[in-house]
Amino acid sequence: MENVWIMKKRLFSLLIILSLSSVAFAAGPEISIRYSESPGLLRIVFEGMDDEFLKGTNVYQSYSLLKIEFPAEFTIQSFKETTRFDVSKRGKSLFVNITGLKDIKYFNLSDPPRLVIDANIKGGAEPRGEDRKKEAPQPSALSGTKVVIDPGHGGYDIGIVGSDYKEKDIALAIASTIKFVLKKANVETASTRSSDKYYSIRERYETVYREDPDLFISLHVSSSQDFVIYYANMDEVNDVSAQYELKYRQARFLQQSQLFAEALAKALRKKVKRNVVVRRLPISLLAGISAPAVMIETPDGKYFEYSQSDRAKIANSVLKGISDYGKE
Amino acid sequence: MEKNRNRTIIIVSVVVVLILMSLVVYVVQRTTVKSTSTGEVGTASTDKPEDSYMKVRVYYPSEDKLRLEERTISRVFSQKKILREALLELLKGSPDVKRNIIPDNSILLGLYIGNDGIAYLNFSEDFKRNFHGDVLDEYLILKAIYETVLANSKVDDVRILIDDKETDSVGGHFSAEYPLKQLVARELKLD
Repeated sequence: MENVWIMKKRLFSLLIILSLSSVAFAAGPEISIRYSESPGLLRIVFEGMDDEFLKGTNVYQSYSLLKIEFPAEFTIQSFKETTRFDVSKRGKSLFVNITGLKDIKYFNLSDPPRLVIDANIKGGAEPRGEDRKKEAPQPSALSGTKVVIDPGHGGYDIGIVGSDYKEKDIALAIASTIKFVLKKANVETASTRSSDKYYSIRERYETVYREDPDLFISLHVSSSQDFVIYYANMDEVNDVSAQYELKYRQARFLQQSQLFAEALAKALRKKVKRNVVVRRLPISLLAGISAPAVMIETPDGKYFEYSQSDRAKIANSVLKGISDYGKE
Repeated sequence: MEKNRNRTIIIVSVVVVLILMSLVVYVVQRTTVKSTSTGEVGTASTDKPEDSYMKVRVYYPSEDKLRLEERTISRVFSQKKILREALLELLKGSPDVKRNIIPDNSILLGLYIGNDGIAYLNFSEDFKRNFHGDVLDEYLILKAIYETVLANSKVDDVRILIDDKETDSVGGHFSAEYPLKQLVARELKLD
């Protein structure tokens, strides 16, 4: 009698699972993404698909970018945002951008069906837990601050190209890490781009006007081995109405931009232990921003690893720079 | 006898007129050459014999500044042609520059000097596509173009076009929607 009851219970559970599966199948599988990390190795696991779906999945690598091509539409059920890598979905494909990626191995496992990608990455692991807590300034001091991050280039505009990196990818990866670190410190962030797409200078201005930030940081890569932080250089604009013209909007913020650049330089020198140069240049991108604005150029990939640890150091330096600038 | 005499006079007159015309043409040509070499058309100068060559001044990006070089070219007489030759020399690059940042395969497709005193330079798509420099590299390229144009012509300003079209930027750091003067005319001072 008891056996019959257990059988009925199992049958009922099976029916529920089957009915839920059919609903899920109609909308495409819901894929969850999890990851684990050990020094030099990042493992990313994609779950939530059936065997057939898994068999039709292909993985391609191009520099730091992985393209995972699924056989049909899908949705991302869960993905905890991380500084380790960025994920973006386009149609049936998922793009995973891993900074410092050397090569990958991937394999399918069953029970439950899942795709496992082992990524060999340059450098060690990012400082985590207590180390990160030690470096982060008091979050409360920065809450209410809004920063627009501008990852340079994108799409067909590649920027500087090295043997195994592109400026557009580095800028996007650093931007992602900075956003992650700033959010943890209660700093509100927005980006001029969050995918590999080209945006003109004018479109970047539009994002800034829409977001109306307290600070603006553009991220690029330098041809030199140093960090270079630029702020705008422009003639004095005495006509008040002219100060609101697009190309002169930075005129009212030059002094603050210089202070911000110097605060960032000080933080970078301390945390990244590299030479940091502060310069003025009449950069159009900065000239049209009505907020303290800087362009940070990180060193050429020939001279800098861009490991996750390095990115975290840059991001923490930016946070420290913002915090110190706010105190002045 | 009289007929022969008249004939001789006509021939002599024709010869004298021809000699005079040649002299006039020679003098006019000499005057034009002199005005070119003294900078009336540009600052291009001549010091080679036979006046079949001239010099143009070209600014090349070199490390974190511009380097001025004089290049000898076959003599041309119009401002537009002098300017074109100077820009072609710029695109060729300089053997004395350690790191050439002029984008590979760049071609000057056209050059037009407007009544507004602006030189419109139409570069091939490669000029934009093959630029892989940083913000200072882009600034130096734009400034090199501007200074080279001004050094070889009476033009006031420079506007860059890519494949006959306006472009928002060459390298993603500076706007190319406006003429270059307001961007690059000032002296470059890096700490």
